[in-house]
Amino acid sequence: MNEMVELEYAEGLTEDSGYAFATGSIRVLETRLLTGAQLARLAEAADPAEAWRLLAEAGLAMAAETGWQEYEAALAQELERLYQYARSVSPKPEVVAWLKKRYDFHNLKVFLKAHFLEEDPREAVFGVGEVPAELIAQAVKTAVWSALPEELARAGEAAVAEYERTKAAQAFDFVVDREMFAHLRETARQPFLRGLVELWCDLANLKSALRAKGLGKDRAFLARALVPPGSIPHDRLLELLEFPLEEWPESLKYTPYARLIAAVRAEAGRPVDLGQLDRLSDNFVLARLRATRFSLYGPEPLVAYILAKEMELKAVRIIMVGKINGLPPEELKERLRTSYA
Amino acid sequence: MTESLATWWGLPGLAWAFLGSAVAYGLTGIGSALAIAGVARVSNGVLSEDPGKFGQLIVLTALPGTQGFYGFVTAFLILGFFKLLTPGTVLEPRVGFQIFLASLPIAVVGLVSALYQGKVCAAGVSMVAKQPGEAGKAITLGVLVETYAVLGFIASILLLVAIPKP
Repeated sequence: MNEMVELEYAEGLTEDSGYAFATGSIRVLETRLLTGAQLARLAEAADPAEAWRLLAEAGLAMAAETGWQEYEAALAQELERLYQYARSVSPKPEVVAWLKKRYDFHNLKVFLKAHFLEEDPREAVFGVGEVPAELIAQAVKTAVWSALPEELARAGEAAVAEYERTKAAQAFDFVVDREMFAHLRETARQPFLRGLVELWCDLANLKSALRAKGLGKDRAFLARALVPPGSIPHDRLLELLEFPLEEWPESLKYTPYARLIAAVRAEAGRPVDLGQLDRLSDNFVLARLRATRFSLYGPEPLVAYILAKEMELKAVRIIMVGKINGLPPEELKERLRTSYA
Repeated sequence: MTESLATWWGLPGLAWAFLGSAVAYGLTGIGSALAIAGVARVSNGVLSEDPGKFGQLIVLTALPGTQGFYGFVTAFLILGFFKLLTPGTVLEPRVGFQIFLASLPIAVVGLVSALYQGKVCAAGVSMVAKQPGEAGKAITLGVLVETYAVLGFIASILLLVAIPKP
């Protein structure tokens, strides 16, 4: 036991100073993230072409190199660049690989849905995962899971089994999300990452609870949808279903999420607006990430920057889709997250 | 001749004096090297994205290096004051031990202040990365830590001056 403690201590020492270079470069890169004012200006652009031009001026490299019609490809490439950069400045691959794992599970979900529900993959497949997307697609098609890493194989098998049993389309989302968060929690080494998983799990579970409440579902439905518990135990969440929505903030009073739930309810007034909830959860995570601004030697600034940049790309996608569909600027601005910069 | 054979805790006077000299430079040198290494890595990161900031960052990066200089000067003063390099020099163990004690303020304060100054300067570097106009403030805050290294240096010199020379 003692030996383990010592080892962890030694690892802590090397890890601590290992990210100093990354932190230095990130402090510069952070100044190049889009600010809230820049995002607002993008939302006010007359058409997609103008929004894209503004993006190029704001320093998004891919926007300068391609036309706005290829915005999806450009954003995907920007994401790949982000992870290439992150890998190049990390002393060890673990933390970046840990973040990339999320994309593997996401890709698995997309392929499973496309294969079994025979629908066109509505969500994009990302090329930045740890496992090549083709490998996952192949495994889903042939139901031979051995080529995938253990955690993905387990998730895939379990999701298919659940789908065969219930024939419910949500089985893929439920099972794969549950396996993903379980895996992330198991492999999170630093306290900061552990805190992050806890936050993600809590937000995912609250979202499921709100959705179940909105659809008038019972405990059994919610129990299937829950991912591993963060700081709120499953019992508490299942209990929430018994209360009217108005009382949720009160019963979540001693968690950090009371105000978030109150805001969702206040802003919606009607059935819960899940899009709004997504936006508010992202802002909640961003607020947590901002707390890493004073950290110097650990992986926190790198992780925070990657997540902030991911959210920026998400915001740009929202703006581009909105512009292409002719959404009015006010509505678009409402959908945007606050900016990390 | 009898004096040189006398020892305190097993060490003759000359050995105590050398130990003082070695500790004064050794500890401050280690502190400064570690501290600069820590700051320099953050600076390298900033420069990899914004090479134009070199002028501002070099001061912050070099700031924790002064402790090593203070220790080095103290080590030389010990050698000079007490003619340690002159052949045939004999020191009473009592005097040698006093020299060793006199070296401790800069040795200990230098080591610890360098490490902490390194942290302040590294934080300063990341501030300059975001606010290039505020380099002066970052340097000022780093210099506040420096004060105590300077005071340790002065304390060591005063103590060395107070010891009766042979």
